[in-house]
Amino acid sequence: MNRLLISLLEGTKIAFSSIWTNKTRAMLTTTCIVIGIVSVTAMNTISDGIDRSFEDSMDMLGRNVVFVEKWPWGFGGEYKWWDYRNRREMEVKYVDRLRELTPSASEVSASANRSVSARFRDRQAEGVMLTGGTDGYFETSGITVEEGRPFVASDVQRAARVAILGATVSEVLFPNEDPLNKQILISGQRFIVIGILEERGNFLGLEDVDNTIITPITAFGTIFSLRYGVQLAIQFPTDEALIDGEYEVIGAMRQIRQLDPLEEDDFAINKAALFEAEFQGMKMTIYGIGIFLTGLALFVGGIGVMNIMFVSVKERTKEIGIRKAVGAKSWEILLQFLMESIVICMVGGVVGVILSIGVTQLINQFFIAYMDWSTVLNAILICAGVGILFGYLPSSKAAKADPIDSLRYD
Amino acid sequence: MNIFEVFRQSIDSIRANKLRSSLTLLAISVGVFAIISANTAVLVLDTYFKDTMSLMGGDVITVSKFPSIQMGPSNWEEYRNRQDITIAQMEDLQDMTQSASGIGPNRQYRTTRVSFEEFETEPNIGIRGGNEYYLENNSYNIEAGRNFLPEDIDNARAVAIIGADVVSALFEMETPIGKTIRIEGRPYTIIGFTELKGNVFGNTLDRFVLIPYTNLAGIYGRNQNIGIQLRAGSVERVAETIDELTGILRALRKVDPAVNNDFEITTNESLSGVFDQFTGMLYMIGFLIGGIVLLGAGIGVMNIMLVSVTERTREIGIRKAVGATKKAITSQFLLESISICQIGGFIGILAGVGLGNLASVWLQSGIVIPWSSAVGGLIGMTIVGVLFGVYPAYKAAQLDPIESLRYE
Repeated sequence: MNRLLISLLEGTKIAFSSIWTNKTRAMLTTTCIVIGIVSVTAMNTISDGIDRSFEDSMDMLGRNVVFVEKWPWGFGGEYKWWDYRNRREMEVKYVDRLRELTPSASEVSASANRSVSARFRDRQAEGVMLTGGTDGYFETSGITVEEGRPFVASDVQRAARVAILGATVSEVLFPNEDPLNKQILISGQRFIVIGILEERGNFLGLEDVDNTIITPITAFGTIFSLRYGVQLAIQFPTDEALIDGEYEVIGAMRQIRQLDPLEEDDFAINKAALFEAEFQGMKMTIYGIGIFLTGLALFVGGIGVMNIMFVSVKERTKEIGIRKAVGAKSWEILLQFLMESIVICMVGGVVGVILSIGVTQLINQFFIAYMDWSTVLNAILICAGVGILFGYLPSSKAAKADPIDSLRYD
Repeated sequence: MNIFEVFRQSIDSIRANKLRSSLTLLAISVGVFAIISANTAVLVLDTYFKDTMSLMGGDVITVSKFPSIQMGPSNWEEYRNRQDITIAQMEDLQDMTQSASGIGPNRQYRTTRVSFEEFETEPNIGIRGGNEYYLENNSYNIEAGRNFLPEDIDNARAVAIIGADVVSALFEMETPIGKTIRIEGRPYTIIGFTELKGNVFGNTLDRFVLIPYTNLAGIYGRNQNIGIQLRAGSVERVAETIDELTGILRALRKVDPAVNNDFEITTNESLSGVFDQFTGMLYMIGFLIGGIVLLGAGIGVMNIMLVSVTERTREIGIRKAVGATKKAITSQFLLESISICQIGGFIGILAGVGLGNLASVWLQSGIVIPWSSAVGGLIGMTIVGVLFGVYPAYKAAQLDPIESLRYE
C-alpha cells in the first residue's frame, strides 16, 4: 500500500517534469484535449439549456395539473375531429362538482380565453390573450401577481370588471405610468386594472405568454360566450398524486356527465406529459447527433494524446530500462506513464471547463445553454477517462518493455 | 531534387513509423469524416424537403388568396379582407394569357363523408373541384381509368376521380371504376383513381374526390373563392409567366398601382424555399462542429511533425552538410504533412459519405454524393496539411547543420 502511494507520487512528479521538458509538445496535446472537451461541454450545456427551458415552458401550463377539455391536444396519429365535434361542451359549474368528487386535488379552476385588443387612451395592444378564470386559476396556472392583487371569489361572484395585466400588455399600454386602478378598454368594454403579472417569457420559444390579460370568468362571460372552449384545470399537490389523480378526474367527470359504463369518455384529458412524449424523440435525435459529433472531437484529442505518449515511451526507452534494472515493477512504469497522460488530459479538462464558461455565455447570445456543477464534474471525469483510455496502450507498451533490450536501445 | 523524389521520401518516412502514422491518419480521417458526414446528412435532409415539397409539377404556378405556407407572424386581417378569386377571373385569365397553359381551378369545397352502397368513410374526404389539368398540375398519376375530358367539364358531368385512400376505404375487393359513390346524397360515377402519393409531414395527399369544378360550382355557387393553377411550359419560363400573370390579375382585379398584389403566387421553388433558412443553419452548425474536430486533428498532425523533426535532427544535419537547401528541407516536411492529410482526408470522405447516406435510407430518399464537399475536402486537406505542416517544416529548415550533426 505504501509503495503504491509512493510510486503514484513519484509517477506524478516524473509526469510533470517530462511535460515541463517538452513544453511545446505538451501544449499542443493539451490544446487537442481542450478542443474536444470544450465541444463536449458546450453540447452538454446546450442540452441542459433546452431541457430547462422546456421544463420552464411546461411549468407555464401549471405544475401537476390535469386539464379537462372537449378537444384533446392533437399529437401524432389521426385527429378524429368528427368524433370530438359531437361532444358536449365543458361548463364552469363543473368546478364545484369536481372539487367535491376529487378529494386529492388541491385546486380546481375553469378558464376560457380568446384573442382581443386592449386600449388605454390612445395606446393599443393587439392580439392580447384575454383569459377569464375562476379565482383558483392563479393557483392552477402557477402565475404570480407581482403588483396589486389577484381577483378573489367575491369578484368572480359579482362579475367584477377587473383586469390583471401581463407584463407585455402593461408595457405597451402603460410605458411610463402606474397601471394600477386605471381604466382600460378590452374589446370596447371598461375594465379596472387591479394587478400586474410577473414576467414569464415565451412558451417553447414561440408564444409570448406575457401578452395576456386575466379577468374573472363571469366578467368574461358577460362579453363573450362561455358556451365554447371552457377549460377545466385540476391541480394536485405532488407528482405522485397526479398519476392517481388523473383516474380520479376521469371518474369524477364520468359521474358528472352521467356516462354509462359502456360509453366512451366524452371529454379529453390533457396534460403536460403529452408535450414531453411528443418532443422526446426529437430531443433524443438532436442530442444523439450532437454528442456523436462532439464526441468525435474528443476522440481526435484522445488519439493525439496516445500518439504523443507512444513518442514519449519510445524516447525514454533507456530511462525505462534503467528504472527496471534498479528494481521498478512493471506496474510502476505503467503508473508513471498513465499519470503523464492523465495529467495532460486533466490540465486540458480544467482549461476546457474555464473556456466553456465563456462559450456558454456566447451560445446564450443566440441560443440557450446552461452550465451547472454536474456538467463541470462530467467534463473533468471524461478527461480522466480519456487519459486512462488513450494512455493505457502506450503505458502498457512501456511496462512490458524488456529491460535488457531497453538498456541497449539507442 | 524533383517532386517525385520528395514525395517518395515522405512516403518512406510515413512507413518508417507505421504506428505513429496510422494514429495520425486516423485522427485526420475522423476530422474529415465529421465534416463530410454532417454535410451529407444535411444535404440528404435538404433533398428530402425539396422532394416532399414538390407537390405540384415543376413549372406549375398557383395563385391563391391566402399564402399556402407561412412562417413567422401572420397578418391574417390583411389576407381576409382581400377580394375572392373567382371562376370568372380564371376564365378571363384563360382568354388573356399568352404564355400560360393548362389553366385550372384548385379548390377543396367540402370535407365530408363519401359513401358507396353500405360502406361509408370517415368525414375527412376532401371534395375538390378541378378540370382536366388538375391531376397533371398537382403531379397525380392515374392508376386506372381515365382523366376528365373537356366535355366532362363543359357539361358539368357527375363524374369523379378518387384518391388512393378513398379507394382503400371503400373498395376492398372490387374495382372502383364505373361504380357510383354518393357525396352529401348526390351520386357520382367514378371514372378513374390515382396512384398512391404518400404523406407530407404526416398529412396524406390521397384522401380526395376530384369532381369537375363546373359541377361543384353549380351546387356551391360560382363566386366561391378558388385557387388558380397554370403551367409556364418549362421551369425557365416560370419567372416570365409570373410577370405576365401578375399584370393580368392586377388588371382583372382592379388593383390600384400603388397597392401590393392582393393575391399570393406559389411555385414549387417558393414552397421548398421555406426550409432554406433552416437547412442553411444546419449546414453552418455541421461545418462548425466538423471544423472544430478537424482543427483538433490538425494540431495532432503538427505535434507529430514536430516530433518527427526533432527525431530526425541528425538526418537534417547530414542532408544540410552535403548541400541540401532550406527549400529542399522545407518541401520535404511540408509534403510529408500534406500526404498524411490527403490520405486521411480520402478515407474520411469515403466514410463520411457512407454514413451521411444512412440518413437517406432512413428518410427513404435518394442517395446523394456531395461532390462539391468531396472536392472541397481534398483542397481543404491540402490547406490543412500546409497550415499545420508549415511550422514544423520551417523549424526543420532553420536548424543549424553543425548543431544538428552534434545532436543526440
